[in-house]
Amino acid sequence: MIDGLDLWVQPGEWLAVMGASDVGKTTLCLLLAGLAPHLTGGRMEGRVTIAGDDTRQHPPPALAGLVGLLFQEPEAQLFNPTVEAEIAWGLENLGLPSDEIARRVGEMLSLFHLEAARHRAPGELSGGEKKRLALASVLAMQPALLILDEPMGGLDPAGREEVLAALSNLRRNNSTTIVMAESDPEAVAAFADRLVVLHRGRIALEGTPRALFQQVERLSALGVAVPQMAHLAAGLNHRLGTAFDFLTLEEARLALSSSLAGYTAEATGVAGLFADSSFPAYPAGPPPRSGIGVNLRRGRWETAPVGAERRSAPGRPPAQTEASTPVDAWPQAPEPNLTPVPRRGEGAEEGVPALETRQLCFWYRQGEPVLHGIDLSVPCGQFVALVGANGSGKTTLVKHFDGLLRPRQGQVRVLGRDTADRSVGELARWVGFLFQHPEQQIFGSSVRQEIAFGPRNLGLSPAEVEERVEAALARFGLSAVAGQPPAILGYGQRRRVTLASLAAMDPPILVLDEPTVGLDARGWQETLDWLVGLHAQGRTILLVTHDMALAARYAQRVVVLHQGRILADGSPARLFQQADLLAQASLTPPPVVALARALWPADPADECLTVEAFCARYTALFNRQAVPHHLPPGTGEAA
Amino acid sequence: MNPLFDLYLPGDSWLHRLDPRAKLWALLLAGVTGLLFRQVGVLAGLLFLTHLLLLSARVPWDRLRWLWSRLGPLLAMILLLQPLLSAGSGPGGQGITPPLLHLGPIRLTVAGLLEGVSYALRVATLAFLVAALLLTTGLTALVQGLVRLGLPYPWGLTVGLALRYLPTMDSLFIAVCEAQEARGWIVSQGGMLHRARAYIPVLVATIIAALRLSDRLGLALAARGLGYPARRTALHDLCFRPADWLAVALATLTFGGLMVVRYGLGFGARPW
Repeated sequence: MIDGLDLWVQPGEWLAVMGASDVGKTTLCLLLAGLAPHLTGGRMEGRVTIAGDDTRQHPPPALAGLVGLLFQEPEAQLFNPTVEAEIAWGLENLGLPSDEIARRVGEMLSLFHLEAARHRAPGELSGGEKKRLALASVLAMQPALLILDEPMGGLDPAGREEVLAALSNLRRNNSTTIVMAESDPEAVAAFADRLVVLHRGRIALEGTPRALFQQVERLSALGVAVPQMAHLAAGLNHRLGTAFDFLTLEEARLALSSSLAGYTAEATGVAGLFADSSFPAYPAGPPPRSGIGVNLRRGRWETAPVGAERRSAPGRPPAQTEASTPVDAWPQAPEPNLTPVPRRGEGAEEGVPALETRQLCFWYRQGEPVLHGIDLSVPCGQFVALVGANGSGKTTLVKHFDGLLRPRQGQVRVLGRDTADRSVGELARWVGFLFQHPEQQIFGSSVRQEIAFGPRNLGLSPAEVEERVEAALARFGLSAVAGQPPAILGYGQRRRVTLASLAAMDPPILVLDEPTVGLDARGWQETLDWLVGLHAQGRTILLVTHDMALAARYAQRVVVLHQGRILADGSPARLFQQADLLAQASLTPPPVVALARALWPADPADECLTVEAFCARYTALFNRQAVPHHLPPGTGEAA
Repeated sequence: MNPLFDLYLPGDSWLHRLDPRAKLWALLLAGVTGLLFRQVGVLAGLLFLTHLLLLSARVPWDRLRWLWSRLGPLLAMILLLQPLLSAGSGPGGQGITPPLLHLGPIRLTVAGLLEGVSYALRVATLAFLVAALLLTTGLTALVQGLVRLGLPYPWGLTVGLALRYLPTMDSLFIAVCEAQEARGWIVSQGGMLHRARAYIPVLVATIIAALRLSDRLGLALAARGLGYPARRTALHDLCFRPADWLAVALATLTFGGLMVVRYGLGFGARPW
């Protein structure tokens, strides 16, 4: 996993670590926290020192006052009955007097805006609140080194903004040295002093976020996402020969409005347009502060034999040394045909919707109604994104389409058939369902068995099952691990197994609950390529997502759910024009849409839903005017 | 509150405020009573009193319904199997139990039926008594109570966490079952053996998920200083108040009285 890594973190520095899925970011966090190899097993060579102390010389509990670790999944670290008890637990372990514990608990509750939740159970909190609580619990121990493992992971837009604000607060008020493993490039751009990109267990790239995020293609090859504004800068630089290097929305607005004076709405600031939604203008790359340093020298780390086998597996390309070559790239998807060809399901009549709900109401046994009279009709062959804040009822709604939940009131139809008298197993013939968490979907003894489970249940012949399994293994680059138990694979590969299992069933309708969560940039793109390919063949796709850029780029239609009701239903362009509505649903438009609205508020939004569309629009305007005096260096040549 | 996350219901009822040691003592005595009495009426009364206790602690009805729904399959199995396996084995059972049904080795009697009801009531009573403790006692207080009773802190924490994560295991099992169904597994298909075999991978997946969870939890506990070389302190220390002494005294007296009834008067040894 980690192979000969040399890494120094300066006192007070905020270091970001990025890399593809399963590249070893979490392992690095565990090593830096001194938990590996003490509690994880595995073999370690080299040294990790924190302020001069070798972690191998100290058992993990003894380092608790020195290092704090925020785990990726807050559920695994929130085990106390109340918020207050959760923050106090670590302090009690340190043996602090009760009045000091009370003081620090109060301080953390205030810092992370959790005062009102003091006596609530952590399980009742929203995703963003849980992350803030986990962060508060770690920070209360006043560690000299704070390690954050994917602090933005799995959050809805509102939760993301909450955690961004908490980190911003931390940045301002604290001099703790921070190492942050993060896939969200916007968070890295906002906070990190320095960025390292891991590949094959080593540092492939290192520098300031601003410098590295200019290398869009190289980062993409390494499976690392870049901020959408950096994509835009690279696109414009490529088309126009400019030298833009903006990373944030505000920087982009300033740079582009000044270079297109006369064609932009000079007075319109981003904050003014999206006052309630948040595009905070966090400064990129703040100056280093004082604190404590950490040093990983010639670190080598090996864990399960999966990685080793993967490296030497037959049929795989030999290990590459070039950082820009992806290790586990899926086979190239065919160029998608974007014209949908409606494909009707088995026995479905012409014009019958693929999915339909009529006055659907649902409430769980213990609680308040979750869905209130939902009327939704998804025609065959449509690509629909279902969006909304956590708790808005998205998962509850889509679970009705494969019969996992049954309406308390109203009706649900799949290809015209009422689901009331059909079992989940029967509905699985028509509706392929992808769960949010791969670990809850995987139960086979091998990857091959796992993928074969669905086709066998469809009653296919052994030959046909075999054919589908082989095709799915090849399509998702899993042939080399076909005989391995899926449970021991890394997150990215487990997610591929679930996608391959779905693909092998080849249903006419696919319902996917946040399929891109936890995937790296390459996995994200490849998943979307696969879905676009299926859509082009006429499959109906209903996709639950928090990713507005995905919805803007791929969906024909976006349905916004808010507090169990449909708040909006229409094209992405129409939705993203309605700032008030987005704010009400705690959603934020993709940065490029927000930028277009800031620059050209009178223009229809559908012109600039994607970076490519924005570049085309900007290029057209750019070419219409003479070279302005205040363009960034390097622009004259193109003009 | 999602009961799949945790059973504990934060609150400030009299039962919430009671010291966990007093609750543990009362639970022990009530549990022993439930085990020593077989009389259906006594067990039904104990179960009824447990419900009153829970309602007085402002535990909502839907939570009680949820508990009943989770116990339902187990109780149904006891009610079904116990009368078939036992034809009223208690003393005097044969006298009042002319067989209702006689099929080879299987003999269904009224005594056997009553015994089934007695076992089911006993299981339900014990389950609701434990629930009364977990619904009104947070992990911190429970562990503190166990530690004050002499258990080392890591042991107390282990017991507390095991109880805390029981509902999580339940939700994991349901999630894996749903995933199988979503891929075409029809639960009602095939014979008993076929269905039982189909559950094996579900169990395996649940166990793997549980191991992953416990692995992460272990790391989280160590990262937050479990085992730090210092004497552990507490934000809110336990304090045994007069109300707690009163509860202990009442529970002990009631238990003593019931033991006189059970062994002095010989009442309650049989289900009828």
